Amino acid sequence: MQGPHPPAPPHPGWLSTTALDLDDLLDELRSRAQASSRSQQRLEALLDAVMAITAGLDLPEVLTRIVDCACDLVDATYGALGVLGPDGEHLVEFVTHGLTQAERDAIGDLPRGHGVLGLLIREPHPLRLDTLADHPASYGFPPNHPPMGSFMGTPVRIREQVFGNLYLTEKIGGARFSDEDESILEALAAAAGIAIDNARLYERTMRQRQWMEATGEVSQMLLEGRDEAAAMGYLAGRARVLSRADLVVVALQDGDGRLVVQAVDTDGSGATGTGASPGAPGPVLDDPRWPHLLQGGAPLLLLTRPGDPDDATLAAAVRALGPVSAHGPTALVPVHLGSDVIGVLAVAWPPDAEPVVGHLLDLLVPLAHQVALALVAARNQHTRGQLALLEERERIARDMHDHVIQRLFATGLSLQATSRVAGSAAVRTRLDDAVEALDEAIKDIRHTIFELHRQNAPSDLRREVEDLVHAAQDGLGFPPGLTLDDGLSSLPVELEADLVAVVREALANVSRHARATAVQLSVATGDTVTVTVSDDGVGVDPQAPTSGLANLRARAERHGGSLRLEPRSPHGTVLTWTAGLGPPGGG
Amino acid sequence: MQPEDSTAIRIFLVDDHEIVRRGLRELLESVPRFEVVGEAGTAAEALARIPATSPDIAIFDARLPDGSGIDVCREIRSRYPATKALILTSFDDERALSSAVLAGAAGYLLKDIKGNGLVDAILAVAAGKQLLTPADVERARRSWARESQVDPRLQSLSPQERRVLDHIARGMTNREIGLTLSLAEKTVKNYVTAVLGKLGMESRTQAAVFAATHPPSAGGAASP
Repeated sequence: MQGPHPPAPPHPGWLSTTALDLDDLLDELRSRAQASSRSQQRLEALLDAVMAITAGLDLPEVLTRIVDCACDLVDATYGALGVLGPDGEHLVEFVTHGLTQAERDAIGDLPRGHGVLGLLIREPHPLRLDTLADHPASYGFPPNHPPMGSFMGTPVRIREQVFGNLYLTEKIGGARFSDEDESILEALAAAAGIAIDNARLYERTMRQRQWMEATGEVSQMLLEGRDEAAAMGYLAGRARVLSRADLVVVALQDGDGRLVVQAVDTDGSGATGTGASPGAPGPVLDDPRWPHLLQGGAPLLLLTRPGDPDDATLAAAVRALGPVSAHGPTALVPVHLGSDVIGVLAVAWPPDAEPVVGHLLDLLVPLAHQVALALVAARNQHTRGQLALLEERERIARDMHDHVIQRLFATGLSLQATSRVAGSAAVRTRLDDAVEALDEAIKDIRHTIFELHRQNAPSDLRREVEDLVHAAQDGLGFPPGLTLDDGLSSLPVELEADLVAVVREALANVSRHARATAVQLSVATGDTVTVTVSDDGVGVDPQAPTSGLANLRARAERHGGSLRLEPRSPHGTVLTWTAGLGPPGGG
Repeated sequence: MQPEDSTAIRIFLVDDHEIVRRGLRELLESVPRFEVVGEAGTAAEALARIPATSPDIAIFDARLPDGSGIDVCREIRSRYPATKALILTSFDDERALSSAVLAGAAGYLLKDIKGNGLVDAILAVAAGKQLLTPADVERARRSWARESQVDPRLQSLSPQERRVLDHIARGMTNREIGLTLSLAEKTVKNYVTAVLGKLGMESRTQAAVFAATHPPSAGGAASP
C-alpha cells in the first residue's frame, strides 16, 4: 500500500504543522482513493473470474480454471481444489496450481484429506491461518513438499452439498491473507459451485446420451438381423468404454438353459469375442448360483478386496475371464424381460474405481433392460421369418403334391391306357417311354416334397441319421450298426440334405434287395464326407433297377464326389459314397 | 360274392382330382373285365354313391377335402364287407402303409404309373387276396409306437383309443370292433376319427395344418 510519491520533505515554521496535517490528510485521501480503486479493481477481477469459470462446460477444465483464478485473485503462490468422494470423507481428486508436474510427481500420492485439509472436510467453514504448521491439526508435510506458510481454505458447495474444498497457500510477498482475501475467496467459491454444477449436469447429459446411443445401436444391430454374438460383442465393447471398466462379459442362456458367454471385452487388447475361435461357443457359466441371481432379476454390485474369503466366486468367475485384477468392484446385471431370464451383463472395474461405480450401476441396469427387449424382439422377428419360410415351403410341397403329381399321374394313366389299345408296336414303345419319363418325374417331385419337409425340421443332423437308422430296423428286421463321427454338426446345408437322402436310399436298397442279416453304416467327415454301408446280403443284382443308384451317384457328383459298389467277402456289398465339403458344383 | 375269372369286376373311384379319376377310368376300362361303376370326389359323395352301386372294389385316395379317405373306407368296409378296398396315395411308403392298415383296406398303391401294377392289384384283390401281409401290419404298428415316443399328439391317445387302434391293426371293421369292445358302431367311429386325427391322417385341410406345425419324423419320409 505504497503511494507513488516519496514522503513530503520537512517544512520549517508555522506552516509545518498545518502542512504536515494536510500532507497526512492528502496521503490519507490518496491512500483511501487508491484502496477504493484497488477494491474496485479486485471486484472487477472477481467478476472476470466468475465469468471465466462459469463459461466452461468441461468439468476438468472448469476445475483448473477455478484454482487458477483463485490464486490470481488473492495473490497465492499455490492453490488446490480437492474433490470429495461419495463417502464425503476422502479426497478423490486434487487439482493444483503452482506446482510443476515434476514437483507433483516428487511429492507422490495426492493428499487423501488428513491434517488441516481434513479439518476443513470435517468442519466445512472458511479457515485462515498465518502459519500452517502452527495449527494443532497440522499433520506436517510429506518429503519434497514445497514450504507453505500462510493458508486459506473454503468449502465449495453445490446446493448445500459440499463438493470439495478450495485451498490456497503462500501469499505472494510473504504477507498473510487478509479479510478481504477471504471475502473474495468465498465469493469465488460460490460461483465455482454453480460452474461445477453446470459442468456436471452437462457431463451427465452427455454421458446419458452416449449410453442411449449405445443402447440404440445394439437394438438396431439385433433388429437388423445381425447375429446375437456380434451384437453382444459390440455391446460389451461400448459398455466397457462408457462405464470405464476393465472387463465386460455378456452371457446369454441357450436353448438348454445354460449360461453361455457370448462376448468378453477387455481393455488394451481391444479384442471382443469369447476368447475362443470365432463361431465356437464360449465358456459356460455353470455355478448354480447364477440361475438364482438371474431369476431374482436384481442387479448385484460385489466389492471384493484382497484377502477376502472366497465367498464371492460369481465375481471371481467373471474376473477370471479377462486379464484383470482378481479383486475390485464387479457388477452383475441380469438381462431379463419380466420373469424370462435371458442372460447377464457383467462389468468388472479396477479396485480404485470403488467410489464411482455406484452411479454406473444406474446406467447399466436400463441398458440391460433395453438389450433384453431388443433380444426378445429380434428373436420373435427371426421366429416369425422362419415360420413364414416354413409355411411357404409347406405350401409349395402341398401344391406339388395336390396338383402337379396328380396331373402327371393322370396323364400317365391316360397314356398307359392308350398304349394298351394302340395298334402299332412303335406307338406303344413311344407311349411306354413317355409313361416311364412321367414316372421318373413323379419320383423326383415326391423327392423334392420330402426335402422340403426335411428342411422344415432343421433338427440335429446326427439325430436325423440315428432316426433313419432306427426306422430302417422295421424294414430290415434287425438293427443296423451305426458309427458317426463328430464332424457331422458342421456340414454345409446342401450337403446335409444329400447325406440324409443317401443314408435313406442306401438302407432302403439293402432292406429291399440284399436279404442281409447284418448292416453296418458309418459316416466319417474330414476333407470329404464318406458314407459307408456294408451288408452281408446276396450282393448287387445286375437286373435290379438302377435309378436309385443313379440318384446316389448324381448326389455324390454334385459335391465332387463318387459312388462305389463293391462285393464284400464272403458275400454282401459295400457301398461307399463320398462328397466334398465345398459348395456344390454344376451337374 | 367272389367274381369268377370271366365275370366283370365292378370298380368305384374316390379321388378329389377329377383328372386323376378320368385317367384311372381310361386305364381301367382298357382292361376287358373291368367296369368303372361310379366316381366320387368327396367323402360325402362316396358315402352316398358306393352303397347304390355296390362295387366289388373301391379305390380311395387317402385324403379327401371334406374328410379322411381312411374314415370313409372304414365306414364302407364296415357296412358293406363285400366291397374290397384299395388305398391310392401319392405319399411315401410308411404313411401309405399306415393309411391302408387304418382304413381296413386290402392293400395300398403308390401313385406311380408303371410300377404300381394297378391292374394286377385289382385282379388279386378281386380274387380275395389280402395284399397287406402280417409283416406289413406289424411294421405299421411299430411305426406308430415309434412315433408315439416323439409326437406329443400320439402320447395323448387314451387307453380306449389305443385299444381301438389295436383292433384296427388286426384288420377288424368298426362293427367287429364294436362287438368285441361292447361299443356302439357309432362310438367306434368316433374313436376312429379321433385316432386318425391324432395320427395326422385326417382330411387334407386338417392334415395340412398339422403338417405346417409338426415337422414329419425323418423315419417316415418318402423313398426316392
